[in-house]
Amino acid sequence: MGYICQTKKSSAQAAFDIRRHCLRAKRVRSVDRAWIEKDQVMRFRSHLGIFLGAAVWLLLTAAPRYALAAPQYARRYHLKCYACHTIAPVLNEQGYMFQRLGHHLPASLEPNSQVERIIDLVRKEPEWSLTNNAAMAVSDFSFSAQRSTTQGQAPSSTSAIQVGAWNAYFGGWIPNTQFFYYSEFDIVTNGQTNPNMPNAHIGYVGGNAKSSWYVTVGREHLQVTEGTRAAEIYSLLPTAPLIFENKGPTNFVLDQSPVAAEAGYTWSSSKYKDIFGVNLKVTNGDHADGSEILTSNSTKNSKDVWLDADWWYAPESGISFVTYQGQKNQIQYTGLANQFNYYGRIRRDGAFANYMIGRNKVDLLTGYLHGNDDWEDPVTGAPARYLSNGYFAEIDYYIQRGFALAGRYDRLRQDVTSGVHPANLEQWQTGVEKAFTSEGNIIGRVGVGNFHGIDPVAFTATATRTYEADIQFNF
Amino acid sequence: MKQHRFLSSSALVALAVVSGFAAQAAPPWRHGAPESTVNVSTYPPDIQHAFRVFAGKCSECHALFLSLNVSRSEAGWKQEVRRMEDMASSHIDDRDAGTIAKFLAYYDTHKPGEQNGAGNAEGMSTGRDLFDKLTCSACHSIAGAGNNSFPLDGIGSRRTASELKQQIMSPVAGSAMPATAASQAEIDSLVLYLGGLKNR
Repeated sequence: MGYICQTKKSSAQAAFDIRRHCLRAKRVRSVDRAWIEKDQVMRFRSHLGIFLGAAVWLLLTAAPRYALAAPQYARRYHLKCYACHTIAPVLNEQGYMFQRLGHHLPASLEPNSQVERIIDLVRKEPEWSLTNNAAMAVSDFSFSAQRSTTQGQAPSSTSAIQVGAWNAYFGGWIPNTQFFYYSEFDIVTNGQTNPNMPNAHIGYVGGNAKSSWYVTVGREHLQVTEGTRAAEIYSLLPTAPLIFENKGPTNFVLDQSPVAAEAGYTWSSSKYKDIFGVNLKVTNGDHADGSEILTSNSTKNSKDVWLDADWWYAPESGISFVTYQGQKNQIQYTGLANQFNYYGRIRRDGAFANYMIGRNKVDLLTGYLHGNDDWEDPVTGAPARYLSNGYFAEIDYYIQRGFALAGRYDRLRQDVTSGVHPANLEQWQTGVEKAFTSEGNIIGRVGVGNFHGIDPVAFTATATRTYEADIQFNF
Repeated sequence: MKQHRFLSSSALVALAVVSGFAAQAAPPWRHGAPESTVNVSTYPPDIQHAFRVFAGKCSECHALFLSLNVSRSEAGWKQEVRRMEDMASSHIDDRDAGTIAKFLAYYDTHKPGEQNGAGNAEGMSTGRDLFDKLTCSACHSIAGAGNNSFPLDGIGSRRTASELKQQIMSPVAGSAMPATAASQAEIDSLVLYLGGLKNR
């Protein structure tokens, strides 16, 4: 590997983002591509029967009408999940505003009428109760079958049914004030009992329903309150989006949970036909030494800056621009004679857009993310650059409320300027998602995905085919 | 290997079945009465159509009983539906809003066990009288009349009928508001009146 920041996979997960944990493909490196494809076809045929059988049974048999319970926010307002999500956890415009108004239900914005202040929204809140604000759990049960191939090694197949995630949330507002809070406690992640708190922040929101601002401090997932639909890390599909979550040569992923101080401003036109949101965040890693962003051999993490600008146009379309800049201080060759500090600067710039055709019918999403990081040649020590260009396109077809088909293609082109030549990673996936309750809080998914590509540093190929099914309970 | 696959599949199926039964076990009233409980077969065709619009649009975000269990005048329903129309992610347009308000106003005066529209107006009037009779104006004001410490203008936009009722019957502990000795019918009338005090 080059002399550049190594990032351990963030344990962070944003609100409701649990499904990604259980089903993420373990991407194994190195393989001869032609051989992979031939081998995969043969070996996965047997998995496919089991997978499809289970998936059909899951979707058609387990379709209860009423849920045992509903998540805290839905319970607070007697609303269904669909009030704020197309299918949880993918937020719609109202969900976006709910977050930015300090976890208060957005007021109606009638033309030429008095706009309610945030404190008015607070006063309209139902009486504070524990069940409306606290400790709701989300569990995720999953089945996955995966086939990975590595050049020079025996291909491996894995399958598992497990409790993929079990999370608890505590979020709401401090009674009679404009302070709000949010925390997420992950008990089980990826099938492993690994207590972790990726979100724990408190904030203050001011202004009114039309023009508001907020500030927050605490541990915060980078994607909280940010982004229109295409910029959300969450997807209807089980496998995490490649361009957001790829751990490339720098192993930097956007999906992290550092300590942060954030400020944002939101403006909405009448009837929320247009919403403009902008927020700036300064982060410092989970720990003072920045070991969230870097590995444990980091001694210092300089302040990272994240800027996001969003424009929603009603009802569910939008554009987002995001930029991230951070400089790391990483010890290389710790304890060895050639130990040195590497100060690598990491940059990410992206533009994302979606267009919803019809009333929540067909959603077209696309995005571009550019990476431009400092790099140092591991052999010569010559300065170089790591460049990446990631693209994705996704189409979601909502057959009916709570029932969607989705397909997505991600492509990431990576280049280390001192390397041999650019290399590509690609991922496609398709799947079905269905809510089993009228409230939308029990959700089943099945999906199939294929990941393949070449590491731009080691220059080895990778291929993984994954079949996945899961059922998520929010209560 | 075969045994492993069998166990995996069986476990998944068992999970699905258990989840189904668990979810079915919840009482309907917790999350909304089934839409099918509203019998509109005797309503005029245009109202039946309006019901379908109401059921389709409003049930996207909330259970229908939230609307069906509330009483408002036709003007009140128009205002309430327009408020819904102006919320983010609303799928209600002007035409839908008119249709939905039309159904709700009709249903309000034709639901089982309910009096006609005149009854609502009467209840409103009675509620206004009760507001004075129960000396609510000692602490509250309406349209500038009464004690301005706790104005109730627009309270109908900020609180649901059930919240108003709860506050009147069981005031929040520690607040200066006394528990009322009013009868249930009087409280209902008062709630009806207060619920009609919408933001302008």
